[in-house]
Amino acid sequence: MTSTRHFLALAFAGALAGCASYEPVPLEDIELARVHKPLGGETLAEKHREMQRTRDDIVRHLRTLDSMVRRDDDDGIVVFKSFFYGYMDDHVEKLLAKDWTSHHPELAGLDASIRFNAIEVLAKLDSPHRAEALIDDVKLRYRGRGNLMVDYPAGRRVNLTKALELVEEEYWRDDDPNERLNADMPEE
Amino acid sequence: MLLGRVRIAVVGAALAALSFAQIASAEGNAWDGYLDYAYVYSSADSAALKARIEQYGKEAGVPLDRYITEQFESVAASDEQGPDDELRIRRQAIGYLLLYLANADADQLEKSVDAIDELSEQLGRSENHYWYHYIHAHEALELGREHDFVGYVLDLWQKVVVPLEEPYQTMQALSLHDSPAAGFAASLPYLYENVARLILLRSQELGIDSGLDPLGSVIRMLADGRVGGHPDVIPASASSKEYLSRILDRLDGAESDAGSLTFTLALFEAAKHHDTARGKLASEGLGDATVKALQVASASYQVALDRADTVQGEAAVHTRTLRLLGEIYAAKQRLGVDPEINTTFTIEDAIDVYNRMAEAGSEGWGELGYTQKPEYVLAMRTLWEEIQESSLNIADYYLAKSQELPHKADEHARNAARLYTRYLQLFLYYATNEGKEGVPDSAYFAAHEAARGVGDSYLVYAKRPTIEEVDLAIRQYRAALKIFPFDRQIWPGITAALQRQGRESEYLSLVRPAAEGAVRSRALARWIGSNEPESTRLKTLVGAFSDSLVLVYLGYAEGKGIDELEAGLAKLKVQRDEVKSRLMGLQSQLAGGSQTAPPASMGDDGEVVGKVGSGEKLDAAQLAQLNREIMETSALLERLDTQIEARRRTLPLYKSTLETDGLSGDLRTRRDHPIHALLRRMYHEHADVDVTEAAYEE
Repeated sequence: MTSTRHFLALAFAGALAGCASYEPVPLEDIELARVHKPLGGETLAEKHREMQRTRDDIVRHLRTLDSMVRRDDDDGIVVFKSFFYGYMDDHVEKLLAKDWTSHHPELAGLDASIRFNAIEVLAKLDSPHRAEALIDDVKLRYRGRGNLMVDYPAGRRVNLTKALELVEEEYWRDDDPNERLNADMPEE
Repeated sequence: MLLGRVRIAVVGAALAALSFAQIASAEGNAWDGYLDYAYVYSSADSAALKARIEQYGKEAGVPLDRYITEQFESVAASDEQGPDDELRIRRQAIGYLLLYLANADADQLEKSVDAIDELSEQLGRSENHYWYHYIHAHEALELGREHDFVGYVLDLWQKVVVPLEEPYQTMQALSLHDSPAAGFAASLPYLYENVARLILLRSQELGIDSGLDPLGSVIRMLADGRVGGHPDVIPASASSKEYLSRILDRLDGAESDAGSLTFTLALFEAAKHHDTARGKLASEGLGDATVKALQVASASYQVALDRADTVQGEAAVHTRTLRLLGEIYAAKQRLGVDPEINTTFTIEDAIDVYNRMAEAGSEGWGELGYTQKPEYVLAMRTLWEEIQESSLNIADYYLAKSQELPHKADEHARNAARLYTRYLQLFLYYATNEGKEGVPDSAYFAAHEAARGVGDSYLVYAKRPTIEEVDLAIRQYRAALKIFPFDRQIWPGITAALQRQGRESEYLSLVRPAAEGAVRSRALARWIGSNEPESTRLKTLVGAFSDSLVLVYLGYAEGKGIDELEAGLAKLKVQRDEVKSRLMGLQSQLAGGSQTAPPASMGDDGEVVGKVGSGEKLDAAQLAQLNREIMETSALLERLDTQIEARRRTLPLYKSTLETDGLSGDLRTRRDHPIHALLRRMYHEHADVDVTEAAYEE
């Protein structure tokens, strides 16, 4: 648990640093993403289904991981960690790689929810670098959109600002949350 | 039944494969098509698969093993593989796998692994990837390497299933998902089925009972509309959907071990063995095959217990093993046979688990493995019910044995009393305001049964109870009466016990508190006032309890018929009329004597004799005698009137209580009977219930 806290503290520190030195996504990539941005119809519906399925699956992974953590099943956690890394590499990160899903009004909430749920799994897997990257990404992508509603923790609807606060409370409770939170929160 | 349906599904799916195969093999041997579409039927159970392969062999004109030899084994692999080689190698690997699955021939699996390994550098193609991991997963199972098995299945999911999901959905949206041109994406519903069966059925057939927990994710994903979610391809009712959802219910429910799939599958397997044993018990009695099946079930439960990491898991196992134990003793009693059946589970072990659950309490229940408090409470109550039922069943068995073997009556009666007493000790410890949350409603009636059982053990079944045992029996009867005063059979039991000790005079003082408790009970009054279930019956009994004479009837009149009691009342009335008539004569004599002549004396038949009406005067002695007789007759008449009035009032009440018979039987057979909740309220309403004192002053 202590190691989890430490790495997450690092992650948040990294996020803070990331804010200061953030290099925006190259303009051409954003434009390309917008060109391919589906505004509706079956394509959007498909994307919505895929993201929803991914979010639900991550929640199931989380539940499985929680179960193994409760039983101190270290061997199982090692196997699961390898699987989840692969799942993130091959599927989740590709799914969320484009900029438009985090800006589309019908998908942004899902997009953010997937990221938060993945952060939770990674935090419990004691995976500092991946969690750090995701936290950085959330803060940058959703800058100024703290009121966006997300599912975090699973089954509960809160706004993005609150979700970040909850992540902090859950995994950084020994640090000074107010000071860091004020510094890290996306601008409204 | 469920497995049977899964088998049907596979046969149905195989028929679908046939049409695919015919298309695929239009220009070659039919086996090419059957092997290319083997994902449709490969996870059938071995008997069905064997039959299917034989049928395909007939249709293709060559059996599979010969086809493999002729087509693949004779072909020397070239240095560089071309597209045809890839297809040939894959078919070869699949062919060996099918032979392995159909005939349990491990050599074939080895050949299959060797073949598919040739494609290890060509896994970019989903089909290759699928068979590579699927075959290796089987190899891992065969070798008992659970971690390898888990790794292959997770890889299969991540590398094959997940990438196919979106294309399949797209094709489904365009109604192209069942087209042969859709490629391997069309296989997705079958892949779901195959993965489900690999984890749920095959792993258990090969005895994998550890390390499966990371696959919990896959099971949860499969259960969420993936298996059974494509009824146009595999009918939902014929897929493993129901089986899967039952596993998931266990995995995430109160009977889990903090979500462990390994444990859930082990417990599920044990429950299947338990069902088999039950079936044999019903059809064959307690014969050798049944005893063996019961021992297999017990051993399977032991495996599940060994896999339990949490108290939650232990509780789930003990709940089921106690049911098994209770069934064994009930069968022994019912069938009158007593074979030796070795089980490693005891009621004491279950009580130990219950104690640990109770100790955790509101603060620590989460550490036991439960994720929700209601599940924790439900698990405690369920375990309790099994403890109570097995205690009562086994005690019943010993009572039956005491009758069957008179020379051992005392020994068996005391065994029964010990079991009842142990349950009562548990009850008294936890049926308090602090501990009652984990105590089910039915526990209160069970406590009544146990207390009464102690009484019966010593007073009905034991041949030579000690004075202390008789005394304890009486106190236990009284305790039983306090918990459940509506059992008519217990009243005469108390009188019989008192008679045995020559203490009949204590009857009313012993039973009245229980009767008054019922009469004064606010919970009972509210129950009757609200016209809750059994109100009429209870109202009758409460009315009867308020009359001490009815209590006497309840204790002493049980052996007599109501006709006999009514005849006694009629006789009393005749006697009263005679006495009244005699009194009137005496009074008339006195009046005549003072004015004319007093009666001299009365004959044996009460007829006035003397000189009544003769005008003779009575002397002082005669007058005093007449007055004394009048006084005595008046007193007798008054006594008779009182008796008649009492009987006239109480007999209908007592008669009405006879009609309340059967409530005990109803409660005994129905744990969910609403009266159980009433008994709970009544028990806790009287904090001063001296069941403890009554039951355990030893």
